[in-house]
Amino acid sequence: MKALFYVWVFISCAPLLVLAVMTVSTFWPYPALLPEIMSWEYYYHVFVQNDQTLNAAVTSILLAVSVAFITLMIAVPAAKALTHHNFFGKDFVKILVLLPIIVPGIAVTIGNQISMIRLGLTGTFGGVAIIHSLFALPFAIRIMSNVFEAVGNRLELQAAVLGAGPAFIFRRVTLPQIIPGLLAAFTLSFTISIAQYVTTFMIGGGRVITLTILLVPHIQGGQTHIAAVYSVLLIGAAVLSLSMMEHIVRRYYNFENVFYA
Amino acid sequence: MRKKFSILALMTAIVMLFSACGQAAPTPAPQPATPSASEAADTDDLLESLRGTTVTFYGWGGSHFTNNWLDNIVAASFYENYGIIMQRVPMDIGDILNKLMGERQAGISGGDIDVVWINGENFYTALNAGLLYGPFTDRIENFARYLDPDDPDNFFDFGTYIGGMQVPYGRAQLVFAGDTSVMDRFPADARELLEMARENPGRFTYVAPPDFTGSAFVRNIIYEIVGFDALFDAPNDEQAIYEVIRPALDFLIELKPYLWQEGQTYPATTAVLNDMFTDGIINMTFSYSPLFVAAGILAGEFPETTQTFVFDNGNIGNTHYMAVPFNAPNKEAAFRLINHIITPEIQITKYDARNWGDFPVFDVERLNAEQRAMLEAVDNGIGILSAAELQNSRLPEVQAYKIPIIDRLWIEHVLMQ
Repeated sequence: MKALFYVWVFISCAPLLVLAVMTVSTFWPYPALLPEIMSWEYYYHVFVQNDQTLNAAVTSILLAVSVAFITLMIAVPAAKALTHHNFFGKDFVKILVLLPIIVPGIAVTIGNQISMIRLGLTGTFGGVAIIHSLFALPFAIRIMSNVFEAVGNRLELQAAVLGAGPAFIFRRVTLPQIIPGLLAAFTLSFTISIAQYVTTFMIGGGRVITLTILLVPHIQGGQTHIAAVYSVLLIGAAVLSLSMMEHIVRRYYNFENVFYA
Repeated sequence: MRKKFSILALMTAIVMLFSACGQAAPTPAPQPATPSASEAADTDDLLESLRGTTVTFYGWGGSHFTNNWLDNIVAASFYENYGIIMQRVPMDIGDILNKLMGERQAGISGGDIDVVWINGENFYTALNAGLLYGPFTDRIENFARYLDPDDPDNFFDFGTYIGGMQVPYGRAQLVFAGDTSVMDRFPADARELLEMARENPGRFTYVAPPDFTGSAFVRNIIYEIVGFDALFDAPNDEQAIYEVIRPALDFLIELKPYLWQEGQTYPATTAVLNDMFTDGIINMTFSYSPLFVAAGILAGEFPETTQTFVFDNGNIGNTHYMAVPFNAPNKEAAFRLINHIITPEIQITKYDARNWGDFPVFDVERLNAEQRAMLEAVDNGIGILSAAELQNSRLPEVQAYKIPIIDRLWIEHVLMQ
């Protein structure tokens, strides 16, 4: 069992390791195990010669955090309603929620682009955050629905019977129970947002420059070394912000990850 | 069961409703946006009002050389001269055209793109879809001052009449390269290339169309086998073009078994082809950038014995251009930027292989002594052909609309064979 775990770790990490080596290799002929010529020139291009890079990293992280918050604000009440309440057309809504990821993303984006142009949301940070949230929502609602199913609503009812108001119940009863699920949904929404490309340029129109907007042209152009530097930066930014987030949450809520251990 | 069915029916109804709405939206007929008389004056007041504004430059961003030149030479000097901020946005031309079409469909007059880097079939598409603003070349002073009015490249782009809708940005030409320490001689024509491939199986390949450069390579082979005139004169019809280029496709099929991986697969981009050459997998590489060998040697990617060559009958050359979209938000700044990019001093920095190595668009005869000295001072290093050699071997492009047809025929008859 343990051996299997290490095999899995190797399979997941090996490509990332190659990526890291690629960022510093200028000459890496086919049979050689390690690059024959190494330099920092690609880092120089990305960080020194291109002054858009750091702004793009900040935009990417701010965008991903905003998307995660917007998504949770919608997903938590929606999942709660879909789990603990009965209303007309509930099954239909459950399918509707998944629609953005059933229909090909490009079709959803083009449709939204035209509406967003009319609303003046294209080329704005808010517009891009909304379109990213659209693709994060199905996953977040799915996760939160499972969480609400698992915790049930009995403790909430109990608190209500004892005279607690809705705000108090949410803060002191519901929230502590769903925190691990919230963290999972947050992480997933964040990751979905930070990896978006097509939606960002369709809605952002080149005015919202994220790391992927700078990264993808180098892949299309075959400049894999520069692309590798951007990828390392992207992964670094994502891992760093997510672990910071988790650290902060864990300081306030001491919990075991009961759902996704 | 019944419940599921009714859900399905309801969903279908909603989807139909949405798509009906989409169709009901009015699609304005494409009309070229034309400049109004009031925009013609170029005064100090105007330049003053442009100060502090932003102008966007959209185009292919896959090369850090090109990006770096635009960011650190063009944008910097433009800001210094005009106080206008130039923002470069890396975006593939296909995505740019999709974006503009979406905006035209929605009737959006204020877009995001001020200057777009474009040519060939994309220019043809954009022009016909009414995505471009103009004619505007009369607003670009340096166009009349430094460009050759007798050069067809300044007025025709892949056989399409430009009509003042775009301004030349730089010149490219397909060139081949090989390592003289590996090859004792270079193929002088397509037949010799086939002979060499037969003697060294698996040591040659080319980039698969519809890649821009791979597509040009295939056309260059067609020129070799059936000639430029035959292809240029062929009617705009897939079957007719197939009949004309068939001997060339047969030639490529004959070449196929001697290629890398026996021609079952091809590199997708010239960057990959260059990497394969660097890594010693293949004997010959090519590029649309005539100075790419010098740049490669300088960067330590190519061996110093690498040498550029062309076929005896010549290689395809073309020009790339800058255009202004119909809904450019800062058109006046766009004209200033285009004018700035074609000034000889800026074009000469572009010609330097350390920056980019792209050929200038000006007519050398029109430069003053100082500018000529600057041009001559550019030392582009080793392994390249001279400007005169390139000029003499330059072959024209065929009509833009034939290119996707040829690419399709190549995929159908050579790749799928």
